[in-house]
Amino acid sequence: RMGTKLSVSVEGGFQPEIAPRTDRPPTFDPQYGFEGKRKPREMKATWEEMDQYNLKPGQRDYCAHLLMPLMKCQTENAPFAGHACDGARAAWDKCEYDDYIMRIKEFERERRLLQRAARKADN
Amino acid sequence: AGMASFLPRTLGPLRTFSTSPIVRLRGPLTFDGWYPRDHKPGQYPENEEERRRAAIKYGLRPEDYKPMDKNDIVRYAGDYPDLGVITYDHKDPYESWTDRHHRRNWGEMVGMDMMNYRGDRLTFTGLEAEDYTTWGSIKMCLRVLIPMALLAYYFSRDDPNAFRWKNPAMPKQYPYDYARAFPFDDPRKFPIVNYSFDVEGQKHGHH
Repeated sequence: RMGTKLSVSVEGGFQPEIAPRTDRPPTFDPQYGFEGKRKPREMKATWEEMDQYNLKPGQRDYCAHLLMPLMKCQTENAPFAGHACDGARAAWDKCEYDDYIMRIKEFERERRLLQRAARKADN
Repeated sequence: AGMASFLPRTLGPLRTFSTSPIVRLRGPLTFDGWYPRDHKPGQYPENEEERRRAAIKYGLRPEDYKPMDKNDIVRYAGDYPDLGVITYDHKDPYESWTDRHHRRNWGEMVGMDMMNYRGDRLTFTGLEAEDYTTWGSIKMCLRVLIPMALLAYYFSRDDPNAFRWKNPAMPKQYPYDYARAFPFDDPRKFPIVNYSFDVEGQKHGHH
């Protein structure tokens, strides 16, 4: 749900005990509630490659394997990269966007599990 | 207002210091003001003759002339008359004034509070906007500073359940713990297992 910017904050203000904390990782077991096993995220870029491109730690995430071709394209076509690197840029952006959506889903999962835990504690 | 200069001790113990001779040695606490030479009011009229002359100078009838109270430490102005409250809004809008914009005729006596009661004030009485007394100035500052302080407090709150207008999301997931390895360790010594929302054996609904 994309309309949760203010409502979740308000909810957290009134019920701070079951509001998820966004400054730390989720607290529940990652496999809890899933009918199968969740696939672990794979890191498709190697450390040596990332060192070669001098990526900062913040760039060494699960989308680094798309960022490096983008940087290569930019250095090749510099200084007039223009739209030549649009494809690579779109691929990297999509990967980052999917990562962001996953973060939001993790938050929502955490929130619902906390509410469920509170309901079970009440009963 | 109303400090009798010749009987300081009658005002009670609170004024004995500020009216004592040793403090008054310093002299008056105001100065006459920078007037154009011919515009400066004259001395306070002592006898009938001076009162007549002052009234004629200001274009008033002698029976109407009343100077500013001599003991009023705020408004005392020599022989300048006290005309009472004369506002722009109280004057007849349909009379043919010489100066229609200010509702004043040529040669009409201008009271000391003309700037307080002029026609382009924001408020009905015009007095609150320019209340430059001590408490008035404090109120003017506070009515800006207190909202500023409240906004700063609400926008800078650190507690995790403070009001935020942001998309609720968990922290970003990385394959290695860079914060733990900072600054000199190798992050590859601290790998993290992160899971996606795909379940093995289950075909994902989206593309």
